[in-house]
Amino acid sequence: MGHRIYRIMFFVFVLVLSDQIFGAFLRKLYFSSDQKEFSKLRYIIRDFKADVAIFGSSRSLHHFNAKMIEDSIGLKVYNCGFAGQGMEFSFLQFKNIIKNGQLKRVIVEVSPNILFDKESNEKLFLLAPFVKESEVIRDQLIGKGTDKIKFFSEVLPFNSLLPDLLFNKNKVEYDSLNGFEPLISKKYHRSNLEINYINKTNYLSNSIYYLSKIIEESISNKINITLVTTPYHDLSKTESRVINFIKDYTFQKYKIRFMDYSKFEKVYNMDVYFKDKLHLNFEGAQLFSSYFSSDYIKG
Amino acid sequence: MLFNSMHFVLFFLLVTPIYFVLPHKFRWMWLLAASCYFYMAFVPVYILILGFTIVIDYFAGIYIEQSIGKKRKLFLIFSLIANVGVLAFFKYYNFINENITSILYGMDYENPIPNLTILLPIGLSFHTFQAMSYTIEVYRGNQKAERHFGIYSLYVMFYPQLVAGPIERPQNLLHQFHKEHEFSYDRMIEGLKLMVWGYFMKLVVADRLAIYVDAVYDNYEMHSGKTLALATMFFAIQIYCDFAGYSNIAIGSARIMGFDLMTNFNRPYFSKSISEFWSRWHISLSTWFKDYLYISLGGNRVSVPRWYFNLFIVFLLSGLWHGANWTFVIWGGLNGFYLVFAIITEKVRNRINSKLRINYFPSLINIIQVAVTFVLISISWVFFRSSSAHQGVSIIRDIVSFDGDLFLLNRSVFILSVFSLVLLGLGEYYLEFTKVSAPFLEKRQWLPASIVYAVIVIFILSIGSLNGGQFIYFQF
Repeated sequence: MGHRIYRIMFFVFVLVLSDQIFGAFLRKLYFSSDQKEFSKLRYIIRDFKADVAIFGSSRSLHHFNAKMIEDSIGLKVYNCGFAGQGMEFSFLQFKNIIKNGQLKRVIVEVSPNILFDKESNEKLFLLAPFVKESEVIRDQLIGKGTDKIKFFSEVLPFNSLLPDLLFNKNKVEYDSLNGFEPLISKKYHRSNLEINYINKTNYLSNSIYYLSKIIEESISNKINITLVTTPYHDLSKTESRVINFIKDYTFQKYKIRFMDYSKFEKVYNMDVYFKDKLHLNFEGAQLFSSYFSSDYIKG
Repeated sequence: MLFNSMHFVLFFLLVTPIYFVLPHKFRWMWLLAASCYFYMAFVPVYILILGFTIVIDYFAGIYIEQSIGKKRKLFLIFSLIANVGVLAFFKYYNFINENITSILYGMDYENPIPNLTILLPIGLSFHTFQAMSYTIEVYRGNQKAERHFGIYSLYVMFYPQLVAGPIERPQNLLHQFHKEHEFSYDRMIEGLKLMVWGYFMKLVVADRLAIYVDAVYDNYEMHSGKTLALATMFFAIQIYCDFAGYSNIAIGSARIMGFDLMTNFNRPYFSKSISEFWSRWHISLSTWFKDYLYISLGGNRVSVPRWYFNLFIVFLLSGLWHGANWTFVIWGGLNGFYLVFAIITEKVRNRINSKLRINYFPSLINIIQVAVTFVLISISWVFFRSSSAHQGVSIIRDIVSFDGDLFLLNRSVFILSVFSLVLLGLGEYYLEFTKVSAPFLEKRQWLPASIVYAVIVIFILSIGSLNGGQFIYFQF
């Protein structure tokens, strides 16, 4: 019996030791990595210094030329957009940023496909490496029942990141682009994207909940907040209805500014400015950003 | 409740110790309650369907045993109709109705019968076949009818193998529920090793490859022949690791409690022929079809054309068992064709090999045979994965052209997929030559086993896909 307990203990010891050593190695790699997403996240969670933060999905990331907006409005602007992320992710970024008290303005990109995208919650794991240092992230990721057990592992927060850590040196000069990621030389590709809003309205409550939290905490921290729907290549009637719903809902409840560029006439239905239905290419983003900057100042 | 979820891990950690703490006479109740909870975690109301078939088959078994002459057959037929009827309704109603609609449409008629919105009860195909094997074996006199209703219910509902097999035989499983199982450290370690290896196959290999396969197959028209060929090869490995991984977890979790379930996979991609492949792949299903359909049709003790027909029919029905779509029938038919063709051409191929003196190079022959078998099986997987016959044919055509550039999706996904394949390859190669189901199963190898399994767990944590992906065979 004794030797069996010894063997079990030996296995547990080897497992824990391997987890700790490999986890420490991954942590070191992650927090010194130049990989674009990792270094951008590190900046946002740890070192954020801008006056204006822009949140949202890839439609923020590729649409708002933060440097151009910065030159226009005279405040430091940073584009916190992340491809494939939703409102909960934006909320967690926002909560980490407002800690330092520097943030003056917030711009949130709100689009029907993001508010109804059931996939967005799954990518919260991108924030897992920060579980130890951010209480907000820890509460959100670990707070959910059985997920507590997962985070006993040092390796798990870095799940699936090893190839990017070892091989991907795809650094974007974020200091000069302020988080903006242009889609350069992307020819328009007509997609078969169809979002069934009727079936997915059960996800509305989660996304609207986090959007509401961003709005309420901005108001309570005296941070100016603006909601923006950036341009689409084309819009269905359902999508237009959804945008109007979001506009009415947020205005009725919070009386905040909503800038609707969904059918921005300078780019609407013009292939030359789009990569696909949802994303402006670089030229489109430049055009949009310049008009947005002047409208933003006027408001 | 998926095996690859924290919910299951906690469930298992609760159920197993309590099982051993309880006196033997209460253990079946505990396992049955746990199995009910496990099944109801999917769609609770469907336990009523399971209950219905259990009641039918429990009484059918008793009446078959007690009756003589034609009555025995009648009770058997009644039981089979009830089981097949439930399976047909939930699984094939819409498929049959859609085909009727197509036929009527071709004759300018409308089908007045609407499709139904039916959710397929999880594991229906598996537990139905397991239940049918019980009544057939009682009828054949190979199994005594189970008088204990709870034990019989547990035979059908035993949670490790309830939703995706192995499809057990009553001779193997039923008596195990009557035996008192003492806790065994060695069995616990063996079971845990099988489970960890199963999780590795599922999370590190199958779910990793699935990302690439889904990205390609869901947009197959946009991808080159090379990409489709690679995605098909990935799918062949994905479906093996998904299903064999599940089976390992099921067998391992049962073994910890003292139950021995049958081996379901025996490294099928090391097969040197289609016939060998089918003796190594989904063994519980292929033996089920052999014992209850193929042999009943006469097997190979009939005329040669009838023998080929029997083989072909069995494979067609095996394909249909997998899903209500013509693609599965084509998949089954293709495998049947391979087998029949292999039998027909066996003498010719042997003569050619002999004349070319290929037999002088046995290692080369083995490699060629394994490669050819893998390619043939992968071609059939195209239809299994495709959503329509047209998609399958289109993909095969593009693969044959082998044109265009290779799509990598993104570098991380590709690197992880290839790396997981390498790990699997090393593991499977080792297992093929040690003839065990999981690495270092023998207890004398506890030191290397501890290190290897700790490393496997680290692999699962670092590169396993932990998004709770569904098991492919759950949909059957």
